[in-house]
Amino acid sequence: MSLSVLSEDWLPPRLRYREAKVQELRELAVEGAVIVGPSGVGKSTLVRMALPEAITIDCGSARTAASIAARISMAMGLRSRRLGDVLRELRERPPHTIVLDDYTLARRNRSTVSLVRVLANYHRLVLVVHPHALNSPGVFGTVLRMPPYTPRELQGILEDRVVEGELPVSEEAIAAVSSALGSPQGPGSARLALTVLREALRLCLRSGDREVTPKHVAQALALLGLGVSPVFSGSHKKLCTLL
Amino acid sequence: MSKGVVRCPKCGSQLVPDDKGRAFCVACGKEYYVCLECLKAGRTDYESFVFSSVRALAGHMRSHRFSKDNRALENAFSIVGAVLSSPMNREAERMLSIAKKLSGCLASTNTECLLVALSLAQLVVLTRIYFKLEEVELLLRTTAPLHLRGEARSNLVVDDEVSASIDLPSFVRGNPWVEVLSGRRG
Repeated sequence: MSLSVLSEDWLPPRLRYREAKVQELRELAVEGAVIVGPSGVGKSTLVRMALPEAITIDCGSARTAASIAARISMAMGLRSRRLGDVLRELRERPPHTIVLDDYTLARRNRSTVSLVRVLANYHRLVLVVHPHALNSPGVFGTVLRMPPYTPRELQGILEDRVVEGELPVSEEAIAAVSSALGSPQGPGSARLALTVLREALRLCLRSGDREVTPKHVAQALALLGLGVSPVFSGSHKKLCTLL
Repeated sequence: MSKGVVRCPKCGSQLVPDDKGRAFCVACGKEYYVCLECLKAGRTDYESFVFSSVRALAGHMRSHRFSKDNRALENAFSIVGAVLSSPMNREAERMLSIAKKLSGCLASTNTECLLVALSLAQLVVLTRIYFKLEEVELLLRTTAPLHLRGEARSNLVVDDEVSASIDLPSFVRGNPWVEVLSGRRG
């Protein structure tokens, strides 16, 4: 049994149900692209699969223009670390593919926007954003939309992980997770589905049961505050119509 | 403790942080770490105080410690400043401003800050006493000769009277010529 298959860092061998998007992104990245989609629909995984050689900056941990520039500078092997110097050096360097993952979490102020403009003009820039941030300053380029997963797609993804990790999870439990979280009833987030499955597995191991059942899934959903699912009714349905 | 509600910086859905500031976003499936100090202060720029890692929150908390200590110091200095409101203590105020700058470098915790502030208050009071004493000394130096002269004269009179009554020989005592001769002197 390997629990690492349920972690966020685990890279699946293929991006199931989104294989076409991988090729599409490779073509779009030449001119720069914006990947748009709600949380947990495989945006970051798509980038990791389509552009393995790209410099990827996680804007969740590097939020300001200065810290983003410092990380780019470090990854490209530039000497300067200060924003102004990095901007000047970036203009002179041969074009690289740079991905700003979770750009929604970055502080999108004037200096960040100017950094993004330099990156877009002199390099190949790929932005990964949430639909809420699509119209915010600094977000421009050809849009590649990632729709939320349906219950059937979520079931396929979870089955793959369970087989890969040899996890003691029943088919009914997988079906329960995917029907609760699949779009349009749920957010259609694979990350959330994996979190619920991980929690259900933990509850199962604690109670000493042989395998994860729908009962464990229901408990895990309640524990994570997803039992009543008040959030799915409003914002997520709106999001699904947008996508 | 705090049951405030914050918004997820990524998707905008509601987050309810627990007592330690941890919050699980049911839409993103991600755990976030909320700064409870900022939440209590009523801040609404969620991007600035909701973090996706504990390390980022720890870095943010350092800025709070600094500002809290600064506030404590400012309070202490304002009290000392009220004591020092008289204009004669310009020198002491200058010292205080230097000490203020120094304390910024010296103090690293809240307790240390207060200790530094208290020491400074003591220093200021001592400085005030020192300047008061200097003033008194100066006053004494300027007025002492006058007092001494007056004292000497009165002492002389007393001496004359005493000597007149005690030390003089019997033939001088009560002799009217003594007064006449003393009037001819000088």
